[in-house]
Amino acid sequence: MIEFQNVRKEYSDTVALNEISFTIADGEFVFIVGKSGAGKTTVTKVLLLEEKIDSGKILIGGDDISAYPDRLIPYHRRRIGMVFQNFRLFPDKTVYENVAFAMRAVGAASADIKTRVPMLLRMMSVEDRATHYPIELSGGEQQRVALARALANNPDIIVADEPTGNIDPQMSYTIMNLLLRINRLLGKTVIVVTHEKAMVDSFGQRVITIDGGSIVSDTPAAAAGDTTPEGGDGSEQ
Amino acid sequence: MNSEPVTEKKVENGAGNTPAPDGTEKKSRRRPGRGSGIFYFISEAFKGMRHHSVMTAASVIVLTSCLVLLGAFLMLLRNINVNLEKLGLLNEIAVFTDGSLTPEEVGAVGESIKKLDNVDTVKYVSKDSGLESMKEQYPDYSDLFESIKNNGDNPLSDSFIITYRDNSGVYELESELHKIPGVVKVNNRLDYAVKVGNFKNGMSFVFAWFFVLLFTVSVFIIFNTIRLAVEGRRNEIDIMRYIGATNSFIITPFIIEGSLIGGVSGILAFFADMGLYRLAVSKLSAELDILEYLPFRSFAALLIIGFLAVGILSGVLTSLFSIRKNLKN
Repeated sequence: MIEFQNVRKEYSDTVALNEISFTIADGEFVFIVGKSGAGKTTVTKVLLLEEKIDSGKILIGGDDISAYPDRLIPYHRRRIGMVFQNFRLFPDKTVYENVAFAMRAVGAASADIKTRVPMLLRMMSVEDRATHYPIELSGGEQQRVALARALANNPDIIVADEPTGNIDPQMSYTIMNLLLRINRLLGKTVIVVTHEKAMVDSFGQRVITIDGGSIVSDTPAAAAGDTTPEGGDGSEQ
Repeated sequence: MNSEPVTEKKVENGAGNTPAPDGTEKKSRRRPGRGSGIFYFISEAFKGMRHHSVMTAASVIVLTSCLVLLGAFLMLLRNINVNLEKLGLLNEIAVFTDGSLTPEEVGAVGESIKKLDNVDTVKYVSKDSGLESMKEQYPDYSDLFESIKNNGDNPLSDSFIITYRDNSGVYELESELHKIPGVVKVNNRLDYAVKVGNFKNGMSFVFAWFFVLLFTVSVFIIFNTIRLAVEGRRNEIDIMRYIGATNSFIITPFIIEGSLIGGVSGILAFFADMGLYRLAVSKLSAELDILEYLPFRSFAALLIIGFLAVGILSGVLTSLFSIRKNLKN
């Protein structure tokens, strides 16, 4: 469980998070939405300990991560798979190497890497692109590689910061559906930060809306219903 | 969820034990260190250099140029010093004995000289060897010297060449030498020796400061070149941080890169200096044969060790300083 307890974060002249509190249960899928500058990206930054909070607490599994010493930060980040708007793949590594690198970075055995990376690439339907470089891929393919990399170390939490910001609308639904599959099939807690309200509404998942650093609404997931709009089952369109 | 408190050991052993992407309950069997050994870091360093070949080449060129300059300067300084020292070998006094002395009496004069304070070495020069020296010094008159020798009317007398320890006591020494029975003449070149000595000290002081200045500027240039190379890879470093790579994992390939750049630059600078020095000596010795030129082999060990040490150290340190700036959490 992820708990934000009265978390406050200020930059020089801006209150990015104004004592916000919310809880995300294990295995939950949550959208965090808001306008540009609302503070939603700051939520991911403090969760990754990229920024230190000014007051309050952030608990994961009851453990106060805001009290972690610097040396533990890399280890903390290994349980969060991060997906970025601009993909952030290594341009000089192939698709396979990009995913393998995430495992190498945590000291994974070569045998594990050889088994797991092809499996992840198959899961993201990019196995036929394994030897290609990111520049040779479409935006949607790059984002799927980024998703494979985020899953490489089998993290408990996936955080996607504007994952559809650089891809076309059709592919955006495919990516969202992939995230939903990851949540449902693998039981990962998935947090998606986005400003695309229309797409968010169509998924019927829990939505936390932030404005001016404060939570203005927290809408629970629809009890039931189709949550795979337009993108179907998440397979390639 | 398996969101247990984070510890280094726990995460290394596999923090996440949620089902694998294929739906199976697969536990990660991570063993720290496997897959990220030294060979992996070296291969990453080579890949990094290949993919950033322009900045790598710039770093090597700048570092090599600086090292070539430092080496050339060092060789110039050593050569100047050697020639000045040669000129400065003037702490000698020539003592001439009376030509009528018997060999035993000449020997007694030598013993008396050795007993004096401030005398460092005493070298006996017989009148025959004095004549031989003159014959070698003036080869055009060798016939003349040969006939003098054959006729047995050598006008020279036996002498002693003395070196002394302290310039300040030379006049006192000269006076003591005059007092020894059988000594007829004492020659010293103290004024000239003092002048050369002062000039040599002044030159060494100026060159030492110039060397320090050149070295500082070189380090500054090298630092900025490598810093730019590291800055250009900031995105790469950020990605590594986000996927949970430790600082040592991020830094190691950069350190290896820095040391490779430094090592290659050191070797290139060594060969460049060797070629330049040999060329310069061959040109200068033809025109300025009065000077003594040290052979390159007398610098070789110092240069290669110094270049590798300075090159690798500057490469490693600048990489380390540059990258640490980018490792703030």
